[in-house]
Amino acid sequence: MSDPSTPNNQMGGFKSNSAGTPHTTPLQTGPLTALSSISATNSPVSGMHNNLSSNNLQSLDNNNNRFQQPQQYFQPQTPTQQPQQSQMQPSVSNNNLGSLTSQPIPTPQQRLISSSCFEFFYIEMIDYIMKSSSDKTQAHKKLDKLGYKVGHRLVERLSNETPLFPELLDAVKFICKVFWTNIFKKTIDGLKTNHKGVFVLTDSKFQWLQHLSFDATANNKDCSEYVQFAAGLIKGAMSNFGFKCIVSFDIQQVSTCVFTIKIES
Amino acid sequence: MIYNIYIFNKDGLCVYYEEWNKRKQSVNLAEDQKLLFGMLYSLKAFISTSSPKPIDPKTGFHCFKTSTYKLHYYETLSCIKFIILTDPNTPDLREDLKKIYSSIFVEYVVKNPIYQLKSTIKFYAFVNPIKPNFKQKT
Amino acid sequence: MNKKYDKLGTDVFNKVEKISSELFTLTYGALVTQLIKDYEDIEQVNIKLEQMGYNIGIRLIEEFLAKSGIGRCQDFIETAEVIAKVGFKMFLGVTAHISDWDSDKKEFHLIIEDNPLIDFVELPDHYKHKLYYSNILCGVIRGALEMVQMKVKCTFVKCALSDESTSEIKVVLEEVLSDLIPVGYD
Repeated sequence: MSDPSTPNNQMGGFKSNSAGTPHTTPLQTGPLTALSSISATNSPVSGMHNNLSSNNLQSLDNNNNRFQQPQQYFQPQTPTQQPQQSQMQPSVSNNNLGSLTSQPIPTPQQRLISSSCFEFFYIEMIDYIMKSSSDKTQAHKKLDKLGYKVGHRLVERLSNETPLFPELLDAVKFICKVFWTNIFKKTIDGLKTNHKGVFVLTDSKFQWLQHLSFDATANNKDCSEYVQFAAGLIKGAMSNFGFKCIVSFDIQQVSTCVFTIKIES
Repeated sequence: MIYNIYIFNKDGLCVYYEEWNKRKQSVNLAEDQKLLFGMLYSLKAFISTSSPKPIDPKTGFHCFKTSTYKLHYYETLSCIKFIILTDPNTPDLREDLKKIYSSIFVEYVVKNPIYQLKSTIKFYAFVNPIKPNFKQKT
Repeated sequence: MNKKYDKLGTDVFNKVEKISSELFTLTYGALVTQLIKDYEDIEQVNIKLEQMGYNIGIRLIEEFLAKSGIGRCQDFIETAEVIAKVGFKMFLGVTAHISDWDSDKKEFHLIIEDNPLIDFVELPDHYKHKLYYSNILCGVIRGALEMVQMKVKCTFVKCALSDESTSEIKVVLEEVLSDLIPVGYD
């Protein structure tokens, strides 16, 4: 039984998507139009076959220009069929905050804010969580949970018009491309899988660490709290697709983050 | 020829200092910094009173020149002060100081999650660009 | 003056890096929920949000000054315009407008018709008029202005989530801080 933690050691070829129909939006060079526009020739899924190495590693290679950064991201304006959950989840404390009104929400055109606005807020949020937790482990748990909640809801909005993914790999690819682009304006730079439920996502320029640097002489160079939330985001997104998983991460070099998704079967 | 650069925060703390090509060693760096800050404060006050027309001391004071050096001054509206000492013939470096503020200080200090206001700056992402930035001018 | 700052706000917003607001809206909502869980007393949550906003404001002002290139404002009226047309636009992508000046020109109301923080949010009835959901904005304004020598007090007077038509923040100028020499210098 191969060790799922070393996807490089796997055998076999890539199992083609039996349905044949690609389900993720191809990234065009120009502005992205409706999320559901899918073209077989442009599909990243079918295009994958050409790029496989014998090590069964699938890579999303930016250099091949297949995944251009979209200039703008347009969200279709149809109301959802099912009532959309509003952001504020009832707390599980004994206070019984009561349920929040859910109603079908018409999705407006995507609203933009400056990315520094979010980043300044993010810095303060992490600071609050770290200070309000008894130790680092608890803080990481809280961040993971927060990320999970947000990721779960965010991906719901993003995959509004997307039909169900026929395969786990398609769900992961959606995260690597559409989901990651919505959050970070770039795709995941490298995806590897052992096709047995372990996926390794590499972001070589993790946005939330871009401005972070330490004193050259600092002893403690741990900045994992700034990445934990993102791991939660992935976990939440995957759970919305029906895949329960564990997401761990590793910070390499300056700002390269490697996320490992392990599906719990 | 650049001699040194000082960055002071609102409270008068010298959050960053770097020197090149200085021939005279300072005895007590902290004292020198305090003296410089105090002197500039008085100078700005003097400028307001002595100016023939209304002047904003924050942005009105640009530089002064002596026989051995020229001091260039740039202060932001948020009271961050960028001071650089060069040889007397260097042209005005206020634009460069402004660039350091907007593209290095804001990006790698203000936006650095681990930066605490009122502490000195040693982050390598800030320190590293400063040196070559001025090396070409030395 | 109005047109000048409108244009500047739009120009700066066009230049900055932008992302879609959903992540921000959802994360903010999750944080508010977390605060309610941690503090339970809603008034404490309001205070905490304001404090967090203050910490954000003292950093945010530097980015604002660097990117907008705004010079010193002539008076508090101009400051208000700058906040509403440039500040809000540059970060949140929306403009606010100013109204209800008092006779001394030391107090104004900032009206936010389109607040990204509250997209898709609905408050349960027992929070309405108690929880100032966007109170973080009050802190941001206070922190940012303090760094440019103005001490202000910001309070929410109307919140769109509490069945009011818009969100409205009252900003009161308490003191203009002079460039006092810090302690320790003679």
